[in-house]
Order: sequence, then structure tokens, then C-alpha cells
Amino acid sequence: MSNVLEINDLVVSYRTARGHLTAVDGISLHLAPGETLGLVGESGCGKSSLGKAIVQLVEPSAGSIRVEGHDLSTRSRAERRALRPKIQMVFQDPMGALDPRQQAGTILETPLKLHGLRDAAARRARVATLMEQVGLRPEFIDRLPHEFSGGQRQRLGIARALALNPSVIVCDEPVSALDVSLQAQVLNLLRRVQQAQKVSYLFISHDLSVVEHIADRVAIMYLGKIVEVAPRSALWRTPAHPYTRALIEALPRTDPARHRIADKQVIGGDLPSPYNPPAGCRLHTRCPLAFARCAVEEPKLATIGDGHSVACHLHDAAVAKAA
Amino acid sequence: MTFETLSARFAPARAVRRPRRVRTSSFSYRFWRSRTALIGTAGLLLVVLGAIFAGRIFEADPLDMVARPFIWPFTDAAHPLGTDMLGRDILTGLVHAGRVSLAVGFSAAALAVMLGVVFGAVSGYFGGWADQILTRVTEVFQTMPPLVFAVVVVAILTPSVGSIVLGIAVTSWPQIARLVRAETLRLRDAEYVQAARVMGMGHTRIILTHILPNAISPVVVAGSILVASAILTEAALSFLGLGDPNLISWGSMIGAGREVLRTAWYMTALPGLAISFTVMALNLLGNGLNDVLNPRVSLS
Amino acid sequence: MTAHASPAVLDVADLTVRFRTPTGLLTAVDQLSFSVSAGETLAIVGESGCGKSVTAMALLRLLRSPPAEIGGRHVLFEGQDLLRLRERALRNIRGNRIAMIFQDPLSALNPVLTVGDQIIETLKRHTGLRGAAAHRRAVELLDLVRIPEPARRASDYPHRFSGGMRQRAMIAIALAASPAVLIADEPTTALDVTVQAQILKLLNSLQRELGMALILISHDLGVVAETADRVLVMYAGRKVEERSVLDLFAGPLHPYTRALMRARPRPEELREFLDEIPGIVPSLADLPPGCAFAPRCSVAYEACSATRPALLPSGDGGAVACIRAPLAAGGVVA
Repeated sequence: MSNVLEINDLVVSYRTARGHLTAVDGISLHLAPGETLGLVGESGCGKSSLGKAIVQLVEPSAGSIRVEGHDLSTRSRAERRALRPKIQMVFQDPMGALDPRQQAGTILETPLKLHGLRDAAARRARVATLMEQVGLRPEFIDRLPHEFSGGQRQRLGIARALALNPSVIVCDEPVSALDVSLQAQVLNLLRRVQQAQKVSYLFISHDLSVVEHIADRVAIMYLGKIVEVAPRSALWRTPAHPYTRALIEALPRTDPARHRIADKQVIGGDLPSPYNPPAGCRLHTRCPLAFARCAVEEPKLATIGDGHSVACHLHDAAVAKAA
Repeated sequence: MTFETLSARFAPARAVRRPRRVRTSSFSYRFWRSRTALIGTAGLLLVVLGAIFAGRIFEADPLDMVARPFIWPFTDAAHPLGTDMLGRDILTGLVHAGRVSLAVGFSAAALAVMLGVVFGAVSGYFGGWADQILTRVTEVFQTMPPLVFAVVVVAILTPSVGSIVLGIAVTSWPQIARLVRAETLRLRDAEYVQAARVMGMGHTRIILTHILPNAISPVVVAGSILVASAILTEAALSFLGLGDPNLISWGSMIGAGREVLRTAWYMTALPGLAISFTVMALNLLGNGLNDVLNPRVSLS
Repeated sequence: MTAHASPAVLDVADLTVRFRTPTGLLTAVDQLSFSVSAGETLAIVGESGCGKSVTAMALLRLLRSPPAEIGGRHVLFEGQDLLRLRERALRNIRGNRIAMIFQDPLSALNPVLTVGDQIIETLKRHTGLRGAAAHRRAVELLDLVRIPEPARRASDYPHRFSGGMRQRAMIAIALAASPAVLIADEPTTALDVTVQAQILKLLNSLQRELGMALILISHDLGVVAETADRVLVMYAGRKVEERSVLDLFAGPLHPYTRALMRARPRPEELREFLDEIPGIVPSLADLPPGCAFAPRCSVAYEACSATRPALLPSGDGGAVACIRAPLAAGGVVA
């Protein structure tokens, strides 16, 4: 089946007081129906900008976004607006994403009204279904956001995203603001929703362990570039990019018999300024395996295995073999 | 926050039998618990009712000479607050003047708020050249003393209630606009505004349903204080002889009493007291509303 | 490594913190006892609202009172009871003998002073070092926390530092007076995972070099597992379990500890669904009678809601507050 979302050579750049910032620098990704693609990276890597470009919150500077085959960049304003319901978003801060003055019912009804569900009774029925689907009791309908707990607020945010029957939901750090026990509730809910209605997720997070849990495939981002994409088990077992390995190594594990901080190989240095990224491979300033070529030539993302691509000069031999 | 209400709601069996829940965050609940807001409202209500029923209670024209001049207050039961130098009843004058002062105050504030909300929201939400223009305009207004500017406007348009209202509104809308602009700037990147855009909501609708309702609290507070300052400005204009000559206001009463200040100070003091009382009530209401509308302030 | 071999530097007995609120008296920390020895890392772990940060603030009496009321048997440190010490005497201990670092280093650093000056400030206050000697020591401290080109960076303002560098600078300030105890309250929560590992590794090695006791407050079981020697699990203001890190992660005894571990996604062991903990953390104003975790617990029975479980020795030098603990450990639950 064809992809619900296809991104080609997407560039998102901003003009800011500090200068020109290219947050997303030529990224290509695709998302199949019912699939979850995890997007992992550290702060400032551009993962949120990518998400915002996909839901049309920011205008890409170059490249294309295709939603169910329709290229957003070649469409008129009205056509793009008509495509909005196809891609919805769940936000990081469950409180901030809900208007503090609107009741749960109003929040869920608004998208239905906007997209032409005129019959009030039908809207009420749909709101009730949505609330049930995310595990909110019907009597919560007249509650204001602050009267919910953090987990319930995120459920409401998910229900709102589902209201328009989207084919893709961009989840931007949806569990980062939640405690572990609530995190589990929300992750399970997202999975149940997906099983029930075949929606695709682009799941953006800084936390590799959460993404490994929820995603089918994982893309790793560093300073505006995708450095590796792989099915989740391949990424975890045979990470090819030194940055992916560093992320996995840095991930705190709950096995003190085998993993102690003192024995960890920790990647040094800080994220370079995204305003002035290093030439060549962007990781070469921090990479323990960097060699001369890394500083001058930028590695291209190339296939090294089944659905497994990496952008690293160390894998040139493997790339040649795969090709 | 309200630990009690939260926990009560999530305790299963008990929550079901609970009677109608009281929303402790609701406006009316908090309003009734704010002493400042209640006192302010009571004071203002007194003045407003007096002004509304002025014609019924004191049927005489306040400009009619009804007794001998210079009757001191509390000396003649027929004229409890005395008479002025032309023998006009002061109590009747105060009540009728209140109509003009309040009408000018409220209309000027309403006009200023309307202008301020529209320009503030547009410039804050869209930014760009609209914002540039607004910022420059407000800067121009900030360099001029508002009273002087109002004097100029009223003098050019010839004194009348309409020109006074316009003069005051034109000098005070920029402060409301700046307030609304700041609130809008804060709110336009809120995630719920982004969520509205993602679902395809248009800009006008976003401003009307998400931005303004969340930006309105400080505007209500500033608006009530603006009424007070408009009353003061009107008084100042009347005092300077720029009041509507056909109408009597507190300011014009003070202006008239000024000439006999040494011998009959009550003619100045009584309208002065009326102004102070009204302005105080409005300021109390404004401060009270500030507490009521700010959920972080606890009202015990 | 074993905690009980060396004497405790800090010994806390029955620490209780209450907050006076319009809705009543809330007990945020309820009779909490623990101790920590030189060179040892004690982790206090729990979800938001469990009282772990309040505990840290209460040790140094940094909570504003009212509304906070701090009580307890004692908080013994170097022969003094911090609970009963005069404010002035306490000021000589804060930032000096017991130092603290916080989650958000930017708000803890003064934006208008250079990083070097802020270290010098602390040195002047607590060690009497002045002038060139203080400056030399400040640069040494920046070097100690692995800030590259320390002499040059000392004259930079905090906003010129990255998040990780700021936390290093905070650690340098905390270490300025060679404290015996360092309290780190969620020191890496605001940082990226690679930088988090750097900072934790740094704290770990500094602690060894300097022989400090480290109290690490965290919500992250992974951070705790990799860094701590001993772990104290808190729930609703109470200690529910305290064990050595190896024992705890090999076999958690309290159902809450166990549930927390099962709720966490683990890439090593992929499951379709995570084990949820039903419900939410109870409000402090309305704690259930008996065990506070009972309403959410999968193995609770009537007796759990009747009386509050006592903290009992677990047989391996630890303690657990659960009348069903042996059952939970036996794996009948799963």
C-alpha cells in the first residue's frame, strides 16, 4: 500500500535575531499506513521543527511533503486547509495544549464544527465516542483542563487529535512531561488506538527507550540531519552510526549488576551550535571514530541492510556491498 | 491548588453521590469571596443608581435657582447640602452631574477598550508592519501628556460630550492596545493555539475564541481603572472650562466653586468628594477584579 | 561500598515536613529516616509529589516557614542537630559543609556575574581565600569539573555556557568549599541524554576523588540504578522501601517499586503493552488510611487499608513497608 506521508529533501530554516538557522536540512522520510516511525534526537536537533512542518505550523523552505499522495507545496491555500484533518498532532505539554477556558466537550467539538459536522446531535455522539475511546468518563464533559490530572489531559489531547479521523498523528514528546506511571498509561492508549483504527504515528522524542517501545522503525536525528534509520530491533541490536551507539550507551538502564555509570563509555563534548554546524559530518567534532575525511566530506544516507540506512563514512564498504 | 476537590473527584464511590459540585475557580464563586471587589461594586452601584434615578428623585432642573444663594450644608432641611452662589441646590446638582461624569467615563473607557483590543490583538497576532505601526503610534502617545492632548482635541472639536469622550478615548486606547498586544504575543505561540491551527481554524476565529477570552482579564481590570481616570480627566477638562456648557458635571461644579473657595469651600469639596468616592470605588473594583481573575491569588 | 561499614556523615531521624494550606495541614514528608556515609551515594527516588525534593530542601531548612513546618527527632551532621541549629549557624553549613545543586542551573546562576566571580564569591564566603589565590582556585575548580580552557571560561557569563556546562559550573560552585555532603536534586533532568551521562559520570568520579557523601534525588530509575549505592523509594511522603541498589533491582520487595519498574519501557525486553499503575498518586490532603499505595496496588487486601504498614527489615540490610512484601517478592503477583 502506498505511503500516507512522504517527505523529500525537506528544509526548514528560520531567520532569527541570532542569524540564519537551518533546523531541518534536507530530510527524506516516509510513513506507511498504520506504522509508527520514531524520531529521536537531542534538543536543538530539529525534530520538533520537522513535526511542525508536517502539520503545516511552519512553512518549509524547500522540499516536499506529500499527504496521501497530495503534495502540499503545489496546492492552494484552500486545498492545504482541506488536507489538515489528515494530519493531526499531540503536544508535549498536556496543560499548555488545552485552552484553559474551554470545557472538555467544547475542545472535542471544535474540530468537528470546523470541518462541517453541522448536526449537533451527531457531534455530541462523536464527542462521547471519542471520550470513551481514550478512557475518559462521560461525566467529565463539562470539566475544564485544570480539573483533570496530567494523564487525563493528555488523553483529552489524544481524543482531540483523533476527532477528525486523521491518517497520521504527529506525537511531539507526548509523554515527556508525565511521570513513569502515567507515561505507561498514555503509551498503552496510543497503541490501543492504533490497533483499533490503523492510524500512523510520527513519534518524536528525546527518549530512545520510549521510542524503542512504541515505534516500528526509528530515525535518529543530529543537527538537522537524519543519521540513521532502521527497524527498531536492528537499531537496538546493530546500531551502525557512532551517534546512535552513543545514545544507546548513554541511555540509563535499570540493571545495576551490568550497567554502572563508572564503566560507561560516554561521548564527550556538547551539541555544537545549530547556527553554525560543523562542516563535513556534523558529528565529527564529538565522534570517537572520526578520521580526516569526516571533517571535509558530508556522508550521505545510504542503505546497509533491510530498511536500514546510515550516513557515516565508516560504512562505505557495507554500502558498496548492499548496492 | 485544590487538593480536596481533586481527590474527592478521583475517589470512586464517593464522587458519584456528591451533590452538585461548586467550581471554586469560577468567576462568581471567587467574586463573592473578594471583599475588595464587593466594596468597589457596592460603591459604584450607589453612584450609578443615583445617576440613573436622578431625574425621578430630583425632578428639578439642576440649573434652576431654587433658593437663596450660599446656604451651607446641613443648615436647611429643604436643601440638605446647601446651595451655590446662584442659589442652585447642590444635592440635585451632584446627582445630575454624576450622570454626565459617569456617562463620559464609561463611554470613553468603552471606546478606548474597543480600539485597544482591536489594534492590540491584530498587531500582536500578526506582527509585521501592523505591529510596527502600532508600536510607533503608542510611542508617540507616550511622549505627550494625555491631559494636554485631550485639551487639544476638545479645543479643536469645540467642547461637547462627544468631543470630550473622543478626546479621552484617543489618549487612552494605546495603553489598552499595548496590554492586549503583550497578552496576544504571549498566547499566540501557546500550544492550544497551535492545536487550533493544526485542525484548520482561521486566524480571526483563533483570535476570537482562543486569544481574546484568555487575554481579557487584565483588560477588564485596566478598563475599570480607565473609567476612573476618564472621570478625572473629564473633571479636569470641565475645571479648565472645556466642559460641555449645556451640562453640569462634577468637574464644572468644582470649576464654578473655585471662585468662592475661601468663603464657601463646600461648593468645591462636595463634588470633589463625589469624584473621590467614585474613583475609589472603581479602583477597588479594578484591584478586586485583578485578584478574582488571577487564579494564583487565594481569596480567603 | 557497603554503607553500614563506615559511620554516617548525615543521619536523619523521623524528618517530618508539613505545609499549612487554606485547605488544611498537608504532610509532605512523613517520619522519614535515612543516613548517608562518606563516599556513598544514596538515591531518593519517586514520582512528582512524593516529597523527595521537599526532603532535600528541609534538610538545610530552605523551605519558607510558614507555610512549611519542619519537625523530627534529629538531622545529625558533624555532631550538630540541624533541626535545632540557629539560622546563623546553619548558614555556615549551607553551601559549605553541605552543598546543593538543582535541576535548572541557569536560574541558580546569577546572570550578571561571570562564572569565575560566582565561584570566588563562594570561596570568600566559606574558605577565606581572596584575590589571586581565590581566582587560581576558581580556575582549578572549573578544571576539576572538566570545563575545557578553564582560565578563559572563568570570565564568561552563564548565558555563554551550554546546559551541560552550566551544570558543571554549578557543581564547581558547590564543591568550592569542599563539602562533606552534596545534595543533587534532579541534576540531569533538564539535560540531553548524552550530556546527562557526562554529568553523572563526573559526579560519580568527583565523589570518589573527594570522598563526599552524595544524595541524589531523581525520578528516573535508570539514573538511580547506574549511580546509587543505596536507594530509598518514596511514595506520598513516606519511605516505602530502602535497599542496596543491587538488591533492589534484582528483587524489589514493595509492590510500588515493582510497579514502577514494570511501567518503564525497556528496550532490552520489548512488550506490546507496558504495565500501567492504575489511578493517580493520592492527594496529600486526602491520603487513604493504612498503606497509601493500597488503592492502586495489585496485591492489596482489606488489611492494607486498615493499618499503616510498619517499616520492617528485609533481611538483606534493607527495609520495606508492606505487609504483602514477601508475596510480592515471591512473584505471585505477576
